Amino acid sequence: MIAELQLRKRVRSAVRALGYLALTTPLAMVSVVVLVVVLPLSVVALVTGSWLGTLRRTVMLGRAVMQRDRLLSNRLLETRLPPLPLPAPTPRSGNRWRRAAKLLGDVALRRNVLLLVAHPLIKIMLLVVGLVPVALMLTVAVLGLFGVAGIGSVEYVGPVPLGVPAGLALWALTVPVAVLAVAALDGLPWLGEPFARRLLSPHWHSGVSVRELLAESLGDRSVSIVYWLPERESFVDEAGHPAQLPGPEDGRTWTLVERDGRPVAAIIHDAALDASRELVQAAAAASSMAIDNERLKADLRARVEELRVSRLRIVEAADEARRRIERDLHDGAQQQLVALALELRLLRNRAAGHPELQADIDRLSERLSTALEELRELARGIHPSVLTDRGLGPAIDALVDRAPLPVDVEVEVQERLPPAIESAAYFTVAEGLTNVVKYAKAGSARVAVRREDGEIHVLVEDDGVGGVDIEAGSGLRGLQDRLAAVDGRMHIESGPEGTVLEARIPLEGGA
Amino acid sequence: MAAARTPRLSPWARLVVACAALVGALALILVLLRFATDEERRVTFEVRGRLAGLVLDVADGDVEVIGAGRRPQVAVTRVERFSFGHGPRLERDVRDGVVTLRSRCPTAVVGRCAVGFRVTVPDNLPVTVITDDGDVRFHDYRGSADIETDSGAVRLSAICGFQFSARTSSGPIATEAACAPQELSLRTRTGSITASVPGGRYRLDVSTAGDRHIGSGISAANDAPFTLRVLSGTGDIVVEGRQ
Repeated sequence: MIAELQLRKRVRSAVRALGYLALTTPLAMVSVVVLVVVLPLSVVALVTGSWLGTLRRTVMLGRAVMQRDRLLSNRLLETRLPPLPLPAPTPRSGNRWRRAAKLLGDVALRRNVLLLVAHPLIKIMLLVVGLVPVALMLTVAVLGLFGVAGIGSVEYVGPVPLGVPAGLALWALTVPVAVLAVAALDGLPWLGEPFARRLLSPHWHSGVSVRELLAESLGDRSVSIVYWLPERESFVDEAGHPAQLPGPEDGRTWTLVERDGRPVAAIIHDAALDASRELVQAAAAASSMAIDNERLKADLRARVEELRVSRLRIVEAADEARRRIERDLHDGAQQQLVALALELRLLRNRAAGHPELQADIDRLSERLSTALEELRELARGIHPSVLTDRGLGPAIDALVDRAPLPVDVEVEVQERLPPAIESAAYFTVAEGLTNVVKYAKAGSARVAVRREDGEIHVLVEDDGVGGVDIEAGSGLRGLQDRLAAVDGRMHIESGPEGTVLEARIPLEGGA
Repeated sequence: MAAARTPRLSPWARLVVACAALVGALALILVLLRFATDEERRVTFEVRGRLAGLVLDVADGDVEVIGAGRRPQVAVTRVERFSFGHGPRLERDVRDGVVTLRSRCPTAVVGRCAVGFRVTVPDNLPVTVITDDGDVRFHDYRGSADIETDSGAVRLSAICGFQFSARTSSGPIATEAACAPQELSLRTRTGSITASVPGGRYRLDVSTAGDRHIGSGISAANDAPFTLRVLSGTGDIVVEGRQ
């Protein structure tokens, strides 16, 4: 029976709660001081649009104080309070009013100020609930000592004179009061956590994903959700990519989320949360509907991803076929024509003294040379070997060299890129220059290829007559499809001053 | 079909509930007994004869002193309020014509004990009042008085006479003198002081770390016949002279 009471554990927990109160009460006082500074600073920022950096730094100080309280709570009271929201950096752009509006409009900053208000109030509540029974226990014990030892000035406790019998009775009463004190301290997390959790809950701001909600609810920022797609009998992540459940060696574990008896997702979380598996289960049950909705979105994203990958495969297969044809032409017909040209040259040498025959051979050589050049041009159009062999820069240089108008070239990408991205960038320049030559009536053109924010940015512009319409020809539509296959996008501006063709290709697009 | 089961409390929860019930029941019984045994006792008596002074030493009780003019005797009304039958201890002593009335309540945890005195005194009978946190009030009194209290408030209204001295630790002092007393000394450590005296020249000693205001009806003069000493450690001081 005594063992069932788990007294040792409860007393330890009560002592930890006392330690928590002793350590964090000064923090609550600091919160009050910070709040006293923050509130007038907020008014100043609102009215004058200045002191924004000081306001944010002060709020960050308050946040640091409350984070310390949260850490002590999680460590000593074994709560699982999520971290406080991090205010956005002090805005740098715009005039001071715009910057003030942006800073004061930051939901995370406002929540931190709200928490600064609530922090001392919650602390007072915890102090009252936790310490009043302790004070009562000490009072009863000390009164008992006065009675037994005959010391002190207290003469009566209620109707009873404070003597030895009353002292012994008070000592006996100390036991139930001590039980209440331990229960009150042991129950502090139960009392304070819902308040704190409610204030820290991300429900306060909209647009938060289910993953973030769960991460904050469970106090585990590394939480992730994978969604079960029954048709594929596999899990996918939020972006629709295939995902695996962690094994026991990963230090992570997972909890299955079910809705109406069917699996909808698995929450992957820190294995340490296994100790409070019911917490994860409760969070999973509470958010199962939202998770099911997210699952449907993930299903859709998975289908889109599958479509993208299959389109990429088609483009890659087509490119591979082009490369093969170019190789076949280069190694087959082109080599034979070159050999034929050499033989014709030898034949011409042997026909010395037969000027008419030599003239016929020269005509044949010229036609052969034209055929060879046309064949090379055809092979380049199908897939340039220089792109495969030497990369984007040299391939674009070769394109520009053959252009019949001055072209300013600026290629800042020297490293090799995935073949699909190189092809997409190359054919963007090729199609752009082809259109410049054919339709633009331009005096000059400019080609630029550079790497920006994880994307390849391709630009082809001219000073021609404009009038480019994507829908009018198949070339640009085909280019658009090719770019879409690698998650790229194209933008054209065409007017009397010329045409600008821009393409942006994400570097992960070719994966 | 399974019947719904009432959730069972854990052994610890049962122990806590039992302890809470025990402590709560004891507290409730104490509170009920306290109100059930509340008593109020009113005792009135007179002190006759030729008196040289009156001393009231009442610890927690309130004291009200009312001037009785030419009436020869001192009339005392004592109101005792207590519970659990633990009334105050009272002592009465007469030595060299000075009557001393002393009351002390027992120190008790949970329980009430308070004594209030209402004393009617003839003119020119010096009165000394000592309390801990009881309030002291004087009305229409003519003579000399020495008042000392800790946290109790002192209020002297329509007083007139020779020497008045009021000292408190934290209690506020408010006086309204009907005539200029020969010496009015008001001192407190942290309390506020308000003194209203007839306008005129006074030997003035006013000091505080707090705010102080001396009205235009008062002028300081070292050769003045009346002394006004108003001293506070940190409390605010207001001295007004009535026309």
